[in-house]
Parts: sequence; structure tokens; C-alpha cells
Amino acid sequence: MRANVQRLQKVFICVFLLIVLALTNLTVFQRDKLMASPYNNQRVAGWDNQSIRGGIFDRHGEVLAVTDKKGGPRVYPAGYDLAPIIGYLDPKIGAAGLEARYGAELSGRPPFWAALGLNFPLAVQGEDLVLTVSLSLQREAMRLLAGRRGAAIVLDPRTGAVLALASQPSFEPSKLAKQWESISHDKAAPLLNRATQGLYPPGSTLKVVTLAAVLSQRPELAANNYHCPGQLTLPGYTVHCSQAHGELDLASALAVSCNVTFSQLGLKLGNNALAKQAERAFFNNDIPFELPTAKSSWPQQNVGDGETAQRAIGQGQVLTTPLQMALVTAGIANGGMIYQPYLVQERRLGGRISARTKPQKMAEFVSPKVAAAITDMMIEVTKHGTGRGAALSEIKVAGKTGTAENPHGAPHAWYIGFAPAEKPRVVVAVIVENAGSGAAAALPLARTLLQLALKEVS
Amino acid sequence: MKASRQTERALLGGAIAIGWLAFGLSWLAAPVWEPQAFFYPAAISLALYLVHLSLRAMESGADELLLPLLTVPLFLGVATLYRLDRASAFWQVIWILSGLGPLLLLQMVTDIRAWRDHWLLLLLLALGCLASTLLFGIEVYGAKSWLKLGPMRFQPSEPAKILLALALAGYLSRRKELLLVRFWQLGPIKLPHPAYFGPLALAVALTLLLMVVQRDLGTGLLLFGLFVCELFVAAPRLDYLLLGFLALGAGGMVSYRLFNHVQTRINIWLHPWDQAAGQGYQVVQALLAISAGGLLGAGLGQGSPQHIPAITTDLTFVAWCEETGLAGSIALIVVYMLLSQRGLKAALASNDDFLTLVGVGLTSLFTLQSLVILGGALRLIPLTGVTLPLFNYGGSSLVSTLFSFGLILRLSAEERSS
Repeated sequence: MRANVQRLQKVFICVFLLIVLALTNLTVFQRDKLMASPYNNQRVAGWDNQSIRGGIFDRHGEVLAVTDKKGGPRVYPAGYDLAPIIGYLDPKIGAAGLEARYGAELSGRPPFWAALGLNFPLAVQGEDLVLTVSLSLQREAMRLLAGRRGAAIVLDPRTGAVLALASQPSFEPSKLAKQWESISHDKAAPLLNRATQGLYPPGSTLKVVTLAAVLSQRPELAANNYHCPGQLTLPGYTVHCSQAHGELDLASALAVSCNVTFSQLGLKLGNNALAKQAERAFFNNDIPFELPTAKSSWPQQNVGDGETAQRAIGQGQVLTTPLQMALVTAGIANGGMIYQPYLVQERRLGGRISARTKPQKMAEFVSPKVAAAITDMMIEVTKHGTGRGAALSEIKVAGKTGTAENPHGAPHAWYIGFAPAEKPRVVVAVIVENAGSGAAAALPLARTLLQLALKEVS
Repeated sequence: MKASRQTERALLGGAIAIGWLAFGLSWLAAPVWEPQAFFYPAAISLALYLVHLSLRAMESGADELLLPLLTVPLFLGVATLYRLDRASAFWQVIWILSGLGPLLLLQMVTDIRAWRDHWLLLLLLALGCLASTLLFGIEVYGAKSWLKLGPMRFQPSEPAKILLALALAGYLSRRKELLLVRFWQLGPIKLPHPAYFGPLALAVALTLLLMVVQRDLGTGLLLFGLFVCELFVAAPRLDYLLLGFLALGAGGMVSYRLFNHVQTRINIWLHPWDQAAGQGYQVVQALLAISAGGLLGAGLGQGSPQHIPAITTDLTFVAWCEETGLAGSIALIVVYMLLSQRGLKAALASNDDFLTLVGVGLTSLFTLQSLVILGGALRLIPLTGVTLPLFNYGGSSLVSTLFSFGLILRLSAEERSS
């Protein structure tokens, strides 16, 4: 009997240990996931009421979000225009955007504090966020896209600092709770951040990726001349050009956006080489960013010639986010090196800087030599090609237009570009859904944004 | 003064200090200071110190760890309740005081061994208690396991559990030899021997009855566990135990098919997130609260346990987790584990089979009840309405748990005879 009692003792100890393990799992390993649950909103809102939530400011100190007293209402002076970046905050429906991403810091609980489970704030006043965004530029981007569906991103290729990130249609965060039913079911999807999560066929803007693959992996192909009879028939697909371009070198092929030439190049490279180049700019990977991003996709599996040729000109199964195209462009502009994009320049506590973002290298898209060669060809696009409308007086612009066929109606209009071409300070990527040709519908917007943005950064 | 009582005094002082600390933190977090707040910790400290003095006066040889260990969950439980609901805390103090009386009286019983021969009476009393709710019971939270006595509510299943533990110990200790007989030959048919078969059948029947008729899944599970533990200690016949588990499993399956409330409980357990705003609300909010505690917790009085239904009666432990974090909850669990270990040690204090089985039965009840509610809150098993003994609000449970520990304390003072 004594031995049996001792066995029972051991059994009990084991079960108690099991309980301790389950507790550890919940409080340590599952904590981040569980605290983000929508069923936890009331608790999180309660935590918020214990401090004055920090404000959010643009790069010039303009107020973007502010709270006056403990648990007081959140005021957004430019709510609709900033919603794609700042998101919203509501005790019932939760939080999104930077309000969600920096929830702990804004409410006075730095991450190490929150990880200990200490819910009461470290300071009565939460940290302020100072963004890299310019309010005036953001407003202009939203105004240019108003009435359409689309997105625009402006960033500094030398650091990754985002100057504007627009997505239309948007929403008014302070009225979101009241209008939740209609907004969340709106077919135009105002809650979708098209700049970071919209997946589109990139159309001809993707030709810079095909070009990068040629120059990096098969440089001998760049010396050849190509012949465009106006169309190219492949098993399962026929590639069309707007006209027969005749004899072309690589630079003129990009300038006139010759589909036949780039399809031929794509076929010579093969899907794997193209996918490899795209992945160097984070296709098929999550882009590290402060807002949720969708993964741009370049499927790996072997495909027929028809599909490979389509992918080389940005059609077929290739899908990208506007942010992704902006980063590809930034890579070319910055001598091949892509910097990780960021929105928060610094955090401040009671007027003192508590954290400052250091620009971080994200990926090397191409070598500096290849980047320079692509830049030259993109300057040609503006000088003599499809991107003529982007030219600015006294400043050289490098760019590429795109007109992406899609199953939802008229083609999406794209433009990617940067300026000044010799020493780029600003990159822009614009998409306007179902607006027709990139040169006509996206390029004028991009030109205005480039012009304004160049005044913002020196 | 015996050396063991000296140790007891030192440890009791430590436990009481922890309790005052918990109260102090709750006071700091409270919006207004109430002078009457001193009543709670002062009353508990005084009562426990008096118990210690009485044990000293009796020159008791009881285990010196038990009283300080008991103090920790009792004190912290009242501190947590005080922060959640003043009225519950007040009544809890009254229950503690009324429970400590019987605990002391039990130390004066000279010969517990004599109870062995009255096992049938104890069994009938236990069954009577359980049956009384069927006849006169009222329904609370969907379980028909309460009796109304004037203004007071009372749960007869609490004394029934103790009575059953004693009855089974008496029965098994008298039939030790029979337990070792392998089969009961009935003509050509071999059956498990009735000495074993009887209690097992009773256990399965009572469990299912409680689950189905009284809708009290938790108590049903506890009684089955009690029988299994005592049988295991009396004679570990794995084949019979297996048979018991199979019978319970089959009965459980049938009641799952037939009865809605069993199905509901199991479904909530399996898919709480699918119905997090509905029936799974309590389970989901409990998980979130525990998780919110992190490593060190929000601090006493700083959590938001008001989101959890039945927090004072079923899930006080969850409030403790949120406010003291992993560190605080592990500390409390360790105290429960130590209480369970000292209880089984007390069972072995004498070499009398009956006393050993009584100790095993009572300790198993306490341990299993703790594990059932902890496992339920952590979603290891379905959540049932049993209380975390000594910690949760609940008069019947508290008084009967203190009665059990009175017996265990008395057993620990037994001396081995040759």
C-alpha cells in the first residue's frame, strides 16, 4: 500500500507540472497572438484609458492624430487622407495601421514592459510618433486619386523613408465605428490598403525586372539587336505589340515598351532566372514594414512558353503590390541596394527622442553597374519613349509606364519612376485601377508627386 | 513547545506576511481608502494564529507544514475576492472562521479508527445527501446541486464527497484480502470479484447520475477520480481500473449523444473561438485574462477581470493569473502541489490501512478538484463549475475542504505502531 501511495504522489506531481507547462504556453508563447484577438479589445481599450495616448506628427510637425486627456477621444485632423497609414482605433472594432502597430508605445507601455505583462503604463503620457510622411504630399496624392480606385507611394530610395502612401477610396477613422456596417461591406473596399496589400498584374513596369535579369544573369544578350514584327505566336498565347517596331536594341525596346522583344528575352532566360531576379527584390517574401503587406508572387513551378513570355512583360500569373514596385524602382535608383521602407522616423517621450529609426539595407537587387545601365534606359523612356509626359524642366526623370490587362475591365494604369535621374532622391509608384494607359492616366499624377516631393527632400 | 510547532509558527508568520502584502497592493490600487478594509486580513491572521496556539496547547504532533500551506491560498483568495467583490470577501472570511472550528475539533478525536466499522452508515448518508438535491434541490448556473436552507444556500455534494471517501476507505480496508482474489467464479462464468466490482460500478453509476441528472459534470468527475485513487492504492488491479474507465467512457459517450448540456460543454471546450461571443465567452475570456498576465502580471488590482462571468465562484484563479502573471500563478500552484504531497504523507503516518485510505481519499479529492478547475481554465479539459478549493468563493466548499484538512492534520499526528 505504501508503494502505491508513493506512485500516486508521482502521478499528481506530473499533472501539476503539466498545468505549469500549459500556463507557460499561454502567458509566454501564445501571448502576442491572444492579445491581438478582437475579443480582447475591451481589455486593451481599458489599458488605454490609464494614459494619455501619444500623438502622431508628420515630418514637419503637423498634427495627424492627437488625444487630449486620459481615455479621451482620438482626434484626426486629416483623418480620411491619412487613414491608409494611421489606420483607426476603437474599443469595439479594434485597431489597424500605425495605431495598432505602435499601440504599446503610444499608450505608454514600451514592448519590454508589455512583455512582462505589466499592463499599467510606465508613463501617464504615451510616446509621440514622428513620421517620415509629409502631410501636404499625402494630401496631394489622395486628391490626385480621388474618385478613382488606386494607390500611390513616394519614398526616398537612399533610406527607405516613405513620404506618402495613398490608397483610394479611404475612410474617416473617427466615424468608422458608426459606419462600420456599410464600410466593411463596401464593394470598393475602403478598408483595404491598396498600396501595401492590393495585388495587381504589374504590366510593362515589370520589364525593368526582366531587364535586370538579362543584365545580371545573361549580359551577352544585351548586345544583340532584336526584331519585332508586331506579334509573336507561342503555344497557347500570342504576344502583341501596338505596331511592328522592326529592328531594336535593348534601350529602344524599353523606350517603346516592345512586348515581343521582352517576351523573347524572357524565353531565353526562362522562368527560374526571372523568378530568381524578382525574389532579390522580395517577390514571394514578406516585405518587412510597419503596416501589413501582401506577398507579391512569381510562381516557381515550370510553365509553358506562353506563360513565361507573359510573365516577362508583367502579365500572366505575376502579381505585385504597389509597394513592391516602388521598392524595385528604389533599388535601381539607389545603385542596386533596396532599403527597408519605414514610416516612423522617431518616437518621443515628453519632448525627448526615445527611439530613432536607422535606415536598414533590405536587399541587393542588382549590382551598381547594372543599376546605372537600367537608369540610362529609363531616362530614354522619358526622353524619347512612352514616358515623355513625365519630363520636368531642368530635372532628369527616369521612369517606366505600364498598362496592365486584367479580367476586371479596362487595363490598370501604372507608372514607376525616380528623379533626379543622376542622383535620385525620390521614387514614385502609382497605379490607377481600370483607368486605361499608364502614360495617360498614371504618369501625370506621378509627375506632380515627383515635382512636389523633390521640394520635400534635399 | 515541540520543535515542529516552532517551525509552524515561523512559517505561519511568513504566510500571513504574504497575505498582508497582497492586501496592501490591492489597497494601493483601490480608488478610495476604506478603514474597514483592515477587518479582512486581521480576522484571518488572528484566526489562524489561534489555531496554531490551540495546536500548541494540545501538544499536537501534527505536520507543521500543513497549516502555513493552507494559509497561503486562504489569505490570497480573500485578497483577490476583496478586489473583485467586497461582499464575497466578507462572507468568505466568515466561512473561513466557521471552517476552522471543526478543523480544530477534529484534532481532539481520539480514535478515528473506530469510524471504519460504520462505512455502510457513511455511505447511506452520502447517498442521502446526493439524493436530497434531486428531491428538494434548486438550480444554479444550470446545475441542480443546491439546497435552500432558509436564507442560505448549501451544496450537499460537498459533505457527500467526504462521506464517500470515508465510506470507501472503510469498505476497502475490511476487504483487503478479497481484493486480491482474481475472479469470482459463478458457474462457468468468471466475473471480476465483487469486492472490486462493487465500488467501481457505484463510482461509474454515481458519476453518470450526477452528470446527467444534476448536470454537475465536475462533481461527477471528482467522485470517479476519488474511487479510482482509493482503489489504486488499496490494490492496483489495472485490468479492473481499465474496465471502470471503459464503462465511464461508454456512459459518457451515451450521455453525450443523449443530453444537450453535455454536448454543449464538450463543444465549447473543443471550439471556443468559433463561439467566442456566445457560449464560449467565459472560456475565451479566461484564456485571454491568463495570457494577459504575461510573466509578472498587471499587479494586484490592475487587471480587468470584470470581463469574465462567474469570476468569484469559478475562476478567481484567473483573476490571480492576470494580476500576478506566470510568476504568481506558478507560486500558487506549487503551494497546491505541496498540500497534495503533505496530504499523502499524512496518509502514511500510521500503518493502519483504513487511516491510509482516508488520507488518500481526502487528499485525492482536494488534488483532483484543484486540477479539474485549473485544467478547465487552461482548456486542457472541459470547464466545469467546481471551485478551486480554499481560493474561490464558496461556503460549502470551503467549510468541507477545511474539514478534510482537519482530518488530514489529525492523521499526520498518528504514530506508527508495530
